Amino acid sequence: MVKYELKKIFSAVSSKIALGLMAMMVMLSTWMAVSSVEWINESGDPETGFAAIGKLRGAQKEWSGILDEERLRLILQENQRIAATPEAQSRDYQQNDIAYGWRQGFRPVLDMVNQSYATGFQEFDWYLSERITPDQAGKFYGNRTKLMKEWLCDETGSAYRLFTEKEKLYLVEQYETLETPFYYTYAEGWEQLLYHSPFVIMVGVLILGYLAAGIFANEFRWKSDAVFFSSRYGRDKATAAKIGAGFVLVTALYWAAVLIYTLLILGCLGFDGWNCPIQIDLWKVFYHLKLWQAWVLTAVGGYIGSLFFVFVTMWVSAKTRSSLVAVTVPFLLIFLPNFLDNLNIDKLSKFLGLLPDQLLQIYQALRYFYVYEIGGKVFNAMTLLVVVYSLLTVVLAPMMYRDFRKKEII
Amino acid sequence: MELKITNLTKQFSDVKAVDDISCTLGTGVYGLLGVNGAGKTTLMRMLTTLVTPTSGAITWDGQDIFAMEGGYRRLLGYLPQDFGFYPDFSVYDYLMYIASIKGLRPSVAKQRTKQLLQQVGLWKARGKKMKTLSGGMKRRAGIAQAMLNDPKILILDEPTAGLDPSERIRFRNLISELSEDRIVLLSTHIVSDIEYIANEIMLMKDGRIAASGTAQELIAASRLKVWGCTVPKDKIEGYLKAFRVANVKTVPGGAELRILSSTPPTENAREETATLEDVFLHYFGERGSENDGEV
Repeated sequence: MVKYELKKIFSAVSSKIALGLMAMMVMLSTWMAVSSVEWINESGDPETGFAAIGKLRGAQKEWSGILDEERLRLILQENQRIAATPEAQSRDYQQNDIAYGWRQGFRPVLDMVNQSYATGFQEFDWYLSERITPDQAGKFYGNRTKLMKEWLCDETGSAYRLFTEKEKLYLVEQYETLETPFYYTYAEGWEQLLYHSPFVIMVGVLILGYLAAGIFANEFRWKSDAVFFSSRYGRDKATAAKIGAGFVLVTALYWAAVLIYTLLILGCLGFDGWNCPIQIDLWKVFYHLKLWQAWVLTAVGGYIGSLFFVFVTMWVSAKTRSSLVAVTVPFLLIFLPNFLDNLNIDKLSKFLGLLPDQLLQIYQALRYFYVYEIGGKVFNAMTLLVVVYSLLTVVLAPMMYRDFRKKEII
Repeated sequence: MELKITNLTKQFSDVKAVDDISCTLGTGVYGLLGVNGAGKTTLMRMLTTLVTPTSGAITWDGQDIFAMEGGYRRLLGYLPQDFGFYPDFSVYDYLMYIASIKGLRPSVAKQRTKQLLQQVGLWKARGKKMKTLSGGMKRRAGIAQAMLNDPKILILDEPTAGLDPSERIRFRNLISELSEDRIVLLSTHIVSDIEYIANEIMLMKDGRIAASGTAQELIAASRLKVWGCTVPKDKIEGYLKAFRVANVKTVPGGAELRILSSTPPTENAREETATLEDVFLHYFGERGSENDGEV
């Protein structure tokens, strides 16, 4: 029965077009990821493509290793040496770009330096690293926690009021217990993989929602409902098969798309850097994750989110008998939180951190300091999102089953 | 093998679609005859468990059919009036899918699908998409799906609607062929569909069974008098308003009318033998006034 339910979905021309769009979206994301990696050559001009990727990889590999005080000192020394060159001092942008090219091997480290030595937790100065001397290298990791504490304790700032004392303690503890020194190497593949993942997963969910919206509603649209419900298994096994088809649809297409996307990006940009902490890309993140773990969390979270979105779509489809109404559900669930987020209300933003769209954009969600004190214990958003939406998805299955099987055909 | 309907009522807001119907169906072909809106489809949808009754009961061999759930539906074959299907499925896939939701094992389903497709003359068209079939072919696919599980109760709601005369005759013969050893309930508003194949005809009007019996019994019970007469052209309109007129045939200078009336409509009117169609008109037809009129 599940096989025939899937056949019902994929026999329509529009479904085949949707599948084609999904494949195109994966290809487009790969192309965007690959083409966004630049190598600035000796003349200060940008190069892209596989040769450029190879050059960047080679340059960053030269600086790879444990980013301890000694290595950081070397990087800061080299950075200062470059900053003193006529090319870096020049007012000509082309000359500046030549100097930038010399820093490409450790550019991600300089980005971390810019944040570590900033005057405030939320400050960012692009040129700060040029003013940091090698003898300041010892403060690199300590600054991260120091700035966080200052941010949380600043009575004039929003963070002071936004977090409870336990939440503040939790965040500080997360910062203090982060394993340092970091391992640094070329990690463009994983960073691009994570960076483009929200687009891939969100568009994927919209397509999956479109495909699943008709699983229940089309029985009414095609007027095949009377034969369906008057058959022996119409109100039990055949209804369950529809839910099974929704599950198989999401599972198969989601993981196929994610697997292809992963292999394409890492195949083009390299698997290197899998064991670097996510902080080499997102310095302030309080989660303790290696890049590969961040990707597993992104993929699994995206799967739970996709399954939840599709099940809600199917439930609405079963309730309203309309695939048109049902297909709008994923759009609403994705775009309404974005709209609310733009209202910039602190208390609201904490609530928004628990909405299901966060599961589709974990790379973005990891940047936020969403923590929640519940019953005296503090939980981070990722834990709550994964647990809550896994449970809600499980609950939705019997709801769909009950609502659809009881339909009367008048 | 007994399907019993007891004081069955279905009310939709302020309309009683089915109003306190009671009857018992055993093996044989039952024709449910009535105009559109008489309540035939609602009655059939209750018999197929698609709609729950407002009051009353339907039992199969003493058991409530709604409590029997799948146990009752496995005995059921149903061709709805508005027969819907999966447009992009081939005829063969469609039947195989319906076989699966009817609980047939795949090997049995394959065998039964082939047999029925041959019986309804669709074996050669088995690879065609359902949406590309003609109206008659769709109806034949519809009857095939209804027969897949070799049902004890076969319910056909307006199965000949939209078919051309030759398709209708073919369909009627097919139903007759399939009616052995089961209860067949066939609804229609076309008298000739059931006149020769139904063992019992139930005339349904305003949600109630107005009369039931064989065609002969219904004709006899109606005590109808049917008259044939020729009237001048300028008086046709008057007769149509005053009497229930079963037929108008134009002839030179006027028209030959077939009139239902307890008294002769004209002096030279000749009495004719009543048919089931006349009975249908008697129960469901409209006329200008309640009493037999004068022209």
